[in-house]
Amino acid sequence: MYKGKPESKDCVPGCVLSAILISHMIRSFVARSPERLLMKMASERESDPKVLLVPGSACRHGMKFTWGVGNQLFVFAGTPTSVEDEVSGEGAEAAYVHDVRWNTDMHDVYTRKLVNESNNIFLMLQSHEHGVEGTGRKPQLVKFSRNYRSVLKACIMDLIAARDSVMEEEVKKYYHSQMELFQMIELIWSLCEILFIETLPGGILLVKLLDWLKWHFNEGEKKARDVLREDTPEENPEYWEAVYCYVLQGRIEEARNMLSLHSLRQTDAYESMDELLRKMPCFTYFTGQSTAEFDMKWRHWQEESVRRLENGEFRNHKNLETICKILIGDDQVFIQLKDLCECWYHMMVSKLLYQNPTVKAFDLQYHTQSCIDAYGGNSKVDPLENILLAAIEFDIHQVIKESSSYLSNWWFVSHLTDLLHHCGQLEAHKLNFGSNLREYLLLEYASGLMSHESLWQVGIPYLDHCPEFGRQYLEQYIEHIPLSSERKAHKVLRICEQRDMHDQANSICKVMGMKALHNDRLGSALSWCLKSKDVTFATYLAEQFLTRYRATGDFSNLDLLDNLGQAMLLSDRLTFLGKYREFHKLYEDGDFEAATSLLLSLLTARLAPKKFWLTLLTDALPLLEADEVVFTSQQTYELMHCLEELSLAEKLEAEEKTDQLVGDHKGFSDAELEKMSLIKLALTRNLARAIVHEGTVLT
Amino acid sequence: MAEVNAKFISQKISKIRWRPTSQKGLEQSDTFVTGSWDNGAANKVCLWTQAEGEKEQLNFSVSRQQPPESGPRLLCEVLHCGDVTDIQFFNHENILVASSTGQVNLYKHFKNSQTLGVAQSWHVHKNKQSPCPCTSVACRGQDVVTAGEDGRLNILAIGQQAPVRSIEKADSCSINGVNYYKHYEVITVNSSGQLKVYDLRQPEDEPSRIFLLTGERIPLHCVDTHPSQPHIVATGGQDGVLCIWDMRQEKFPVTLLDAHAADMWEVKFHPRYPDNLFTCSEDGTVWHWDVTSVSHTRTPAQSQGTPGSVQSRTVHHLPATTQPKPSGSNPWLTIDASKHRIEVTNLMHGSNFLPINTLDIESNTVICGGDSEAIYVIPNLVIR
Repeated sequence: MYKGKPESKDCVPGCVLSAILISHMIRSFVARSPERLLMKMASERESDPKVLLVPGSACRHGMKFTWGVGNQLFVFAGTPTSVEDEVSGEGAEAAYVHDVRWNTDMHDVYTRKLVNESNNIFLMLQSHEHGVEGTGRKPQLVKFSRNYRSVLKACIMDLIAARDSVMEEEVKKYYHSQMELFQMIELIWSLCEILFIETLPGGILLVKLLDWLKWHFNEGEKKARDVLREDTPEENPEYWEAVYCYVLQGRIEEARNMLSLHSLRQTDAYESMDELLRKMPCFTYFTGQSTAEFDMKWRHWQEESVRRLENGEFRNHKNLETICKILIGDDQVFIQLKDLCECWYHMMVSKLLYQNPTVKAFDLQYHTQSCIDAYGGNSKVDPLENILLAAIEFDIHQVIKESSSYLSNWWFVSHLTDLLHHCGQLEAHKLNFGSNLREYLLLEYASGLMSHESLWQVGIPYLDHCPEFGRQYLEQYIEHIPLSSERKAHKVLRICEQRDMHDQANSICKVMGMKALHNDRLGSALSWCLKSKDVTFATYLAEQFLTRYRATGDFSNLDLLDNLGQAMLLSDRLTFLGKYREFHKLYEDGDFEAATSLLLSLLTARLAPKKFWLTLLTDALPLLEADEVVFTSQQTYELMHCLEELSLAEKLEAEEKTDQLVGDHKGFSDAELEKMSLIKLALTRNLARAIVHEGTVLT
Repeated sequence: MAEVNAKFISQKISKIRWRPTSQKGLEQSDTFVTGSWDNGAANKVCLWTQAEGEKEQLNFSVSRQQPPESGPRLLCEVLHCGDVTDIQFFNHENILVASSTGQVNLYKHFKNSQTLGVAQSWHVHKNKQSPCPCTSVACRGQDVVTAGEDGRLNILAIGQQAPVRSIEKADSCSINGVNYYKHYEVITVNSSGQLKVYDLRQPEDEPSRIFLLTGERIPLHCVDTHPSQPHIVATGGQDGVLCIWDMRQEKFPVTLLDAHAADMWEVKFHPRYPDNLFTCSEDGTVWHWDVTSVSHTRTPAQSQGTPGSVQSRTVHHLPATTQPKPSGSNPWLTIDASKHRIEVTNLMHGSNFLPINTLDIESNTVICGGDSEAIYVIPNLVIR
C-alpha cells in the first residue's frame, strides 16, 4: 500500500509517468507502453495507482530506470525505438536523470516512534533468551507481548490525536487509514497473544476473549455514554442496545447498572432479572474452583434462567425477555442481535459465553462456521477476518502468510514471528529460499529500515539477530550508507569494528581519506589512511607531501608530521617523509651532527627515492660549508658515491632513450647541473678539510 | 537507581542543551533545546519545556478527554539545513547552532509568537569540493568561536557578517571540539588525538601549546573545562577513555580513566558542583563520575587499597613523590592516587541500546538524547 507522495527532484514540465507504487512489497517493475512505468506488487490487495508526472519530453520515447538505495528509482529517458523518432530530432534535448523516491508506512513521524520503541523491546527479548528457562519464562514472554502492544496502542493514540488536530482533508484521511491499520494489527496481535503466548492452564480462555472484546469493541460503551447523558435514559432508543451490548460482552456489572436506571426497576420482572445477572457464575483461575464445579454451578444457574423465562416472568417486558434469551444461549436471539455484535468473531465469543463457557482453545475452530454463516457465509469474510480465522485454527504459518500479504508493513509479522519463535511456537520451518521464516521476515523488515536515510541504525540490531544471512546483508548495506560527516563515519566505523568487518572498515577509511584528498586536506587524508593501515595510499600521500615540499620549500601539516611516531613505519615513503622532516627539525635546532648522520642514513639506506637525492644533497650543502667540519672523510666519500650514482643513472637513461630514438629527452636542467657541480665542489672542499681535520686530531 | 523518563520524538538527536535561566542561578531551568541529525532535508532545532503550560491545565479541567502529556512539551521548532552538529546558548533567547553544511545560525526565540527565527547566519567552513561540517561552537561573553572539519578556527561577532578572525590552518586534521579555556584562550581537540591551546591575543596562527597522548592517534571527540579551575580539562575520544588533563604540567599532564566501550561523544562537568562529571557514549550509556569522596581524604599514602569499579591507567605520569600535592589540590588531579574512590554510576541501566550522542546537566537533572530518537530526562540525581 503506497502512502507517501513521490517526489521528483527536477522540475521541467513535460511528459507523463504513471506508476503504481505499492509500499516496499514491490517485487518487480514492468516497463510497459513507452510513456508508462508500471510497478507491480506481490500484495494481493490492490490500491489506487498513484500517478507521478515525470517532466521532460525526452521521456516520450519511453523510460528506463535503475534502482537507487531502498525506496528510490532513477528514471531516465529511453532511446528512441524507431528511426523516424530519431529523425524528428526531439532527442537532442538535454538529458535528465530523475530521482524518484517514496515513503513507506513505517517511516512517518508517528510510526517512527513505534519503530524505535519496538527495537528496544526486540533487543531485550533477544537478550532475555539466555535468562530464565522453563516455567518462569512464560510470564516474561507475555510481558514482552504486552510491551509490544502498549507501544502499538501509544502509536494509535498519537495517530488519533494527529488526525483530530490537522485541517487538511488528505492528511486527515491518511492518519485515519494508518490508525485503522494499526488497530487491526493490535486486534490480531492480542488474539495471538491469548492463543499462542499466554496459553492458560487447561486451555480455558473465555475470560481472556471477553477482555479482548472489551478492548476492541466499544460501540456499546459509546451508546451507554450517550444514553446516560439524558435525563430519562430509558427513553433513548439506544438504551436497550447498550444493555444488550454489555450482556453480550459479559460485562454484567455494567449491564446491571444500566438496568437500575430504569424507572420500572422496582417491579418484579426487573428485580428478577437483576437477581439472575447477579447470580451468574463467573469462571476465574484464582478462586481455586475446578472446571467441573463451575460447570455444575453454571448449569444450575442456566436452568434457573430457563425456568424463569418459561414461567413468563418477563412476558410483559420484551427487552428483558431478550436478555434472558441471551443468558440461556438461545441461537435465534444471537442472529437477531447480529448488528450489535458487528462481526462473526464477536458473535462467536458472545455465544460461547452463554453456550459453552469452558470451551478449550483448540475447540474454538468448531464454533466459527455458524457465526460466519450468520454474516453471509465464507464469501463475505474479509482478509483481516481470514487472519483471525487462521489464528483460531491454530495455523500460525497461515496467520503470518496472510498478514504479510494483507498488511502493508513488515513490522507486525517480523516482530510477532520473532516473539512466537521465542515462545517455541514456531517449529524450524525451512523455506525454499534463504533461511527460516523468522529470519526471512526479520531480513525484510531490516532491509526496509536499512534503506531509510535515518533509520538505518535501528535496522542493524535486527540483522545482528539473523544468524544465517544477517551479516551478508549488513556488509552490503553498510558500504552504501552515505558518509556525510566524520562523525557519521566514526559511527559506521564503530559498527564495523564491533562486528569484525575489516574490509568494510577499511573501505570506509578509504572513502573518507579520498574525500579529504579531493578537498585538498592532506593531513586528514593521512590520518584516515593510517587508521586503515593502507600502505599504497600512505605511499601516495607521502609522495604528495614531498611534491609540495619541493614546490614550496615548506612542509605543511607539521602538527601531524612531527607526531607520526611508530605510524610512519607503515610505508617506506612515509618513513622517509617522517625522517626527512626530523632532519629539518634537527637542523633548525642546530644539532648538526645528528642531522648529518640522519641525512646520510637516508641516502645510504636507499630510503630516499632517487628523484629526491638531489634535494637531499642540496640540503647537505650548508652543512658541508659550515665553519666546523661535520662530515667525516668517510661520510663525504659516501655522499660523493651517491652523487656519482645519480649522474651515472641519468647518463644511462639518456643513452637508452637515444637508442630507442625517443625524442625530447630531458636530462638534468641547467639549474640542476649547476647545483650538481656546486655540490661536487663543496664535497671536494669538505673532503680536503675533513682529511686535514682528521689528520690533526690523530696526531 | 535513577529513574529515566523517555520521550520519543521521531528524530535522531545530535545535541541537547539546557537554556540558561534569565535570572542567574536562582531557579532551575525547565527549558531546553534539541537538534537532530541524519534526517535528510528535515533536520530540526526544537525548543522544549518541562513546565506544564497554563493553557493545557485549563483545558484539562474543562474536558478530561486528553490528559496532559507527561514529560517535555514542544514549544516550537524550526527546520535546519544539514545535521545539527553543535548548539550553544548565546544568551537567554539567542541560540547558536552549527551545521554539517559549514554554516552557523543564530536563532532567536520569539516568546510572543512562540517561534524560532534565524537572526543571523554565517557560512564559515568550506571545503574545495564537498560541504565541510562545522563541528563545534563555543561562546563566552560576547565572543564566539567555531571550528570545523577543515581544521579552521573562526572568531565571530554577533551582528557582524565577516569573521573577526580566521585561523585557517589551525589543524591539519579535523577539529572535533572547541571550548573557551581562559578568557582569550581557546582549547581544541582534533581527530589525531591532540589537544591544542590557542592564545587569541597573539597575532600568529600557531597554537601556543600542543598536548598529545603517546602512541595511537586516537581521535578526541569532546572537551570540557572545569568551571572554576580552568587548568583542569576533561576530554573523551574514540576509545571511550576519559582523559583528565592538568594544563599546568608541561610534561605528561594526563590521567586516563578507562570508561566506555565505544566512542565518548560528550563530557560535561557539573556547572556548580564540578566534583561531578557526566559522560555519554556510542555504547548507549551515560555515566556519572563523582569524586567527592576523593576530595575528603587527600593522603596519597592510602592509595594502596583495593581497586574500585574503575580501572585507571596512567601514561607516564610523574612519580607520586614528585607530584606536587598542595593540601587544596583538586580531586580530579589526585584521582590517580585514589582511583578506587571515584564513584561511577551508569544512569541508563539497560533500557537503551543505541548510541547516546549528547547530554547536558543542570541542578540535579540530566537530559540526554541519541540515535534511539528519544529524549531521556533523568531527574533527582544525588549531586554532592
